[in-house]
Amino acid sequence: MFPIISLGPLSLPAPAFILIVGYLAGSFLLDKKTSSFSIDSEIIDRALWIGTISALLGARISYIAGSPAAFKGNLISIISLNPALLDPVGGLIIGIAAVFFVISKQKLDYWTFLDSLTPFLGSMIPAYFLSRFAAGDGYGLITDVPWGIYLWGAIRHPVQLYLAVFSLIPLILILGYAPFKNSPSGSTFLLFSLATSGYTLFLTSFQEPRSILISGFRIGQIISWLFLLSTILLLNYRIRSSPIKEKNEGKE
Amino acid sequence: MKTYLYKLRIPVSVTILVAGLAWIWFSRLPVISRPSSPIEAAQVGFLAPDFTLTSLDSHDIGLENLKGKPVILNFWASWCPPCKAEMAAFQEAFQEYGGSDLQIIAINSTNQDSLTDVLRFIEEHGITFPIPLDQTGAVSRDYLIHSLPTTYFIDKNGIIKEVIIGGPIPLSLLRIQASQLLAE
Repeated sequence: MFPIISLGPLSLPAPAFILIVGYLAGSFLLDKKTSSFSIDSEIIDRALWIGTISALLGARISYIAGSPAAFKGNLISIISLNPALLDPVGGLIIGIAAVFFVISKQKLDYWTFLDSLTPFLGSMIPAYFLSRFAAGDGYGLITDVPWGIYLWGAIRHPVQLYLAVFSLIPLILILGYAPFKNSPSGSTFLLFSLATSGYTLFLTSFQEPRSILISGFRIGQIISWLFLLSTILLLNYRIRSSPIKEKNEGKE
Repeated sequence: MKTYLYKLRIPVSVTILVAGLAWIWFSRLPVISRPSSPIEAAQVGFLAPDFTLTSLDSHDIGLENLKGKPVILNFWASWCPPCKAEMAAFQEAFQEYGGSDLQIIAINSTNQDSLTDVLRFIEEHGITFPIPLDQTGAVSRDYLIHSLPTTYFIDKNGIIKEVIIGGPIPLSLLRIQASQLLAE
């Protein structure tokens, strides 16, 4: 755990710094890979910027909307730079909505857009897990494995490191092989989602759960499984409705 | 090869989903394995480390004595600009919640400050809430203070509900956290 990076008199919050590095690396990879998906990189860049700004504004608006009375007589705090006054879920929903608004205005194919965005997501996800590791969040179960780390009063699984390492695998595959030959649009994004939900389902079992269902089931794993199911259904739908299917059916 | 993969996609999909369900089942936590008493650590979800410090007016202040009451615990120093910027909000919150169970305590990191500066700071900002003095830095170490200000929001059972590193914390944020702590 290293929540603060000290550079002389300057103290940087490590989790935010890691996320910014992930964002910049993702933007770089996105620019490099966009041409392989036959899509204009300028449109993608614009959509990403609009999405990011909308997400930040949306996160603040959503936070204020949750407790408007708290801002009574203290309106100046609406523009506070403190990130604790952000609602991440609200921001994410508004950011995604803004991105989809931009691409629908540009009349882009959603699946092709998602494919081209995958290198960016592939960079942000390891950064997210590393930022959680830096903050000491999402810590692992108590263990006696030799690679366990001392955290919060016990030796624990470094579960955010497991997740960060596993999340590099789909990123490397995307950078090396995507777009996959003879595959329908959307398959890069869906295969990436499939891999992400798969390793998350597997590895969160080593995480100390914050919320548990009755009988000890983890909510996080159930959400990952539902995500896995949706991804598989969508992937099958895309394969079925692709030209490959027609070719195959013709042979049968 | 592609036809082969195409034909196999349904069994492969079903296998992945069934394996996922099986893993959820096998990796579920037995309810009896949950720790009966929480561990003390300066992190959300853990029991806030206990301390006893002497305040400027020579009173002993400790978390143990505040059991059953939610606590906002701030770490600060007089030379730290964001600490200065947020003190007015803490004072206002202290007055707003004076009639409730909520306790606002601002531990001064005296090991990296001077008593003269601390006294001047308190007078300048009109602070009336308790200011314990961490003369040795031991409490700051227990709370893993890497940066000032840092604020812990602790519920009535002594469990840390939120940690905010850095500042300044606006009054609205203190109000939201305070109402969440008091509602529990």
